[in-house]
Amino acid sequence: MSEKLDAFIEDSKKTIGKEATEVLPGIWRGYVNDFETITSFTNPIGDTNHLYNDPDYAGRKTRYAGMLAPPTYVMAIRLPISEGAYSLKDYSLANFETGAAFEWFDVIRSGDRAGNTELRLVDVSKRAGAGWLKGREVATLTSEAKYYNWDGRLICRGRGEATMVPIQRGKELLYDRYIYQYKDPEEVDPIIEGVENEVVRGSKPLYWEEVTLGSKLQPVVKGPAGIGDFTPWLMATRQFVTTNETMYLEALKKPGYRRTNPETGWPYFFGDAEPMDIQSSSLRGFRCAFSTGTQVVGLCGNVVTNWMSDEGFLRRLSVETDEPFLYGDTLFIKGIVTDKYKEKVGDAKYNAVDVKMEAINQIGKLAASGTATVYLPGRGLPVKLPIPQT
Amino acid sequence: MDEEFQKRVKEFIEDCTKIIGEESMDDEAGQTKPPFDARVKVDFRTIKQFAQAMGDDNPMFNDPTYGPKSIYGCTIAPPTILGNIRYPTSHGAMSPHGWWPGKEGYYPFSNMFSGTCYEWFDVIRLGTRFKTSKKLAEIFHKKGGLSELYFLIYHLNYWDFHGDLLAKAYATMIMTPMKARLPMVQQERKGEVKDEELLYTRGTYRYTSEEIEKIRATLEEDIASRRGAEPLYWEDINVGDKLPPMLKGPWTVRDMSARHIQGAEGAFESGFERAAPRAARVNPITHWPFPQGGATHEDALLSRQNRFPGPFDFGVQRTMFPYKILMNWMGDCGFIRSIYMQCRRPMFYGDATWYTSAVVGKGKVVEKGDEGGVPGEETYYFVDTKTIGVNQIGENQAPSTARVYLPSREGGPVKLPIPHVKEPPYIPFGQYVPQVDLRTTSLEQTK
Repeated sequence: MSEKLDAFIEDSKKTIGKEATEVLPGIWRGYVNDFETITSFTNPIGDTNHLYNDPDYAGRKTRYAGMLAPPTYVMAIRLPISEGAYSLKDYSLANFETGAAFEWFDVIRSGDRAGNTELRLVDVSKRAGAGWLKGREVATLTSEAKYYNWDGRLICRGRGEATMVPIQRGKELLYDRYIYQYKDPEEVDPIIEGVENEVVRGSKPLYWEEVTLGSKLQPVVKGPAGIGDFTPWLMATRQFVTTNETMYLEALKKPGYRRTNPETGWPYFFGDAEPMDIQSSSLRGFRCAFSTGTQVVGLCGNVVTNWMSDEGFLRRLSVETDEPFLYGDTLFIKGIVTDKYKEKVGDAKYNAVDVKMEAINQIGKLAASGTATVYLPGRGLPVKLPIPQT
Repeated sequence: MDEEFQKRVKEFIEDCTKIIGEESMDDEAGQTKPPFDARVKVDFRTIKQFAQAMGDDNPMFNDPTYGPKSIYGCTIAPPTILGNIRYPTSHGAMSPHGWWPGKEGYYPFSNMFSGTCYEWFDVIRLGTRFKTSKKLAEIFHKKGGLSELYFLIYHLNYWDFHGDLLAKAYATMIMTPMKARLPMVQQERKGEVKDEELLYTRGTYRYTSEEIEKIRATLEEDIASRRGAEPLYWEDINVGDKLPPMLKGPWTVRDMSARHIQGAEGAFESGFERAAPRAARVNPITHWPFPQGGATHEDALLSRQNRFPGPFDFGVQRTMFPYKILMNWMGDCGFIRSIYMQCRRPMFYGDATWYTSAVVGKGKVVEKGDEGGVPGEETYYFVDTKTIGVNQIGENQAPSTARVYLPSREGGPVKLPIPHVKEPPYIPFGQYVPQVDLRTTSLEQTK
């Protein structure tokens, strides 16, 4: 097992610094980010913010005079995670997206044409697994992404992390927890309450002066998750999804993803959808379906954009997954203000607020954690965009 | 409980009858008056996503440089993309005016998409925007072997933004009464469905190495069969000619998920907003007492609530497949005038379906139109085909019949658009659909 991990690391090192051609842009250069592509993304992160879903509202009630994409929509443009040599051959590794971080320079407007993207693996290394992977040797891959607009201006920088775990596919469990069973009403009602009481601040600006250290963001509740929550992420973040004949061709082209389906025995099963397929998630070492890490990053971004109002600007977001988000799990995502300061970028000064986030699941385990920096308007002083690139 | 069940079943039929002829609002919420602007636009990304969801790598739909050099001068879409432009059936009184607030939790029914009959007057070109109308047109009842079956027949028109009728369709949804869908039963049993309530009991099929090789060989033959730009002339076709094969499967969740090109049906909070009342459906494992998205198809734990033992395909997706056989065979210069497919058995997770087809008729037909539609009169050289889709255990899963117009040496290329009247009159479903016996797996034309 260790030999295969070493071989994977060696092969992946050869791809460092090169464009990660195996990760196709979901929205390619020249394609318009429009209502369809944006709402296809807001849906699987459960983002109901009118700024990102309602062109009529956004056109009439916001400074942008049009609908925006949520900042994490850059993951629909292109996922920020290269998997190195993973697709080249079967290294007997289970692949997981375990975190992503972004820094934005501008908003993404509905109607903007997508520009170029760059995605490169910058590091691959062997480590001792932590958390639920404690006791295992893993490979961690770090990638850097850049997203440009149609004019060639950088709108976002991203960093993504993938973790590769040696596995005896189909014979070994990496994570031994099954679907949670809720007690109704004592465990169901707080979820309903959380969903129904979700607050999207919207057109009422949140001024920097109003924010105090230690103040809490209105939490968001995501779940209990089901297959219908997981599968839309696949469509939202990929240029297309092959099926049947074209999936067979893709399995031939990318042997690293080629699997034998544990139920049917079909040996040209394409393994990137294992997490959302109850009948094949065992191939990733799980007892049930689960979400991909990038989707969890999108879910966490939602708690900040709900809170910061239409006038706020998400400058930075960094999320790491700490525990798998399984079928049936519910995430209670909270945030707290940890710092408040003026940030100088080039010649401009911004009213910055730092937020710490935690996603706790229904059994009290930390499923994801992260930080965000938000630029807020001062009274009479909107956030000046775009942010200078220094 | 029985009394309440019977009462609600009766009420559903009565309520459906009341909305016959009314515009269905279910998937066009927010718009008030037909024809409705379709959300899905036919841009290149949508065409490619759809083609890939069909397992089709035809460059006409996947390479933006191919279409402009074709006889159409632009990329065109697979014709059955119509099913994504507007979902061609609905659930009657269960969701007459939008999914939310619907009455999914009230009427105790499961449903099965059971077929479509599409008719086209032109190809669908890149950039087309659609307006649509969908009405519940007919209801009829049959007694099935395991359940009462109520057939809801929907009738649709698809216009482009210039008001030209590009296509129409009939589609069928079968509603089957199911006691386990009563909210009180859901609550009492915590979403469990008994084996005797299932319509099918077979599990996921496991293939032998011989069967795997047979599947692989058919896939290779299917993939290699594309004709492309070289015309297939009508004069060169004989009744009895075989079309290239197509194979779908072994079917998995990924294959089904890919059809959601128009965005999905509500996840997390947005899914909850659309959820029916508490206990409308209880997840048998988590015990979460609300329906979850449209996931009964893909979710091995929820599919029993549709009376199936495991994940099963979306019928609408299956009825979209036959165009690929026809397009591979006839090439870019042929035109698919109509396809009628019945979903006679569900396609379960793991199923593989072998599609075989033959020419069952050929002839000439004159099409006429009027000033409001496409005026004039043209002669077309048609070929009728029959396709059967038989799965790995011999079930006649997906039989269909189609009519295509081919270029002819005598008459030249297929002239588009097809002349037609402005408002084709409504023809009852039974008279409209081709009179072909789709119950047999014979490739003879049996009337």
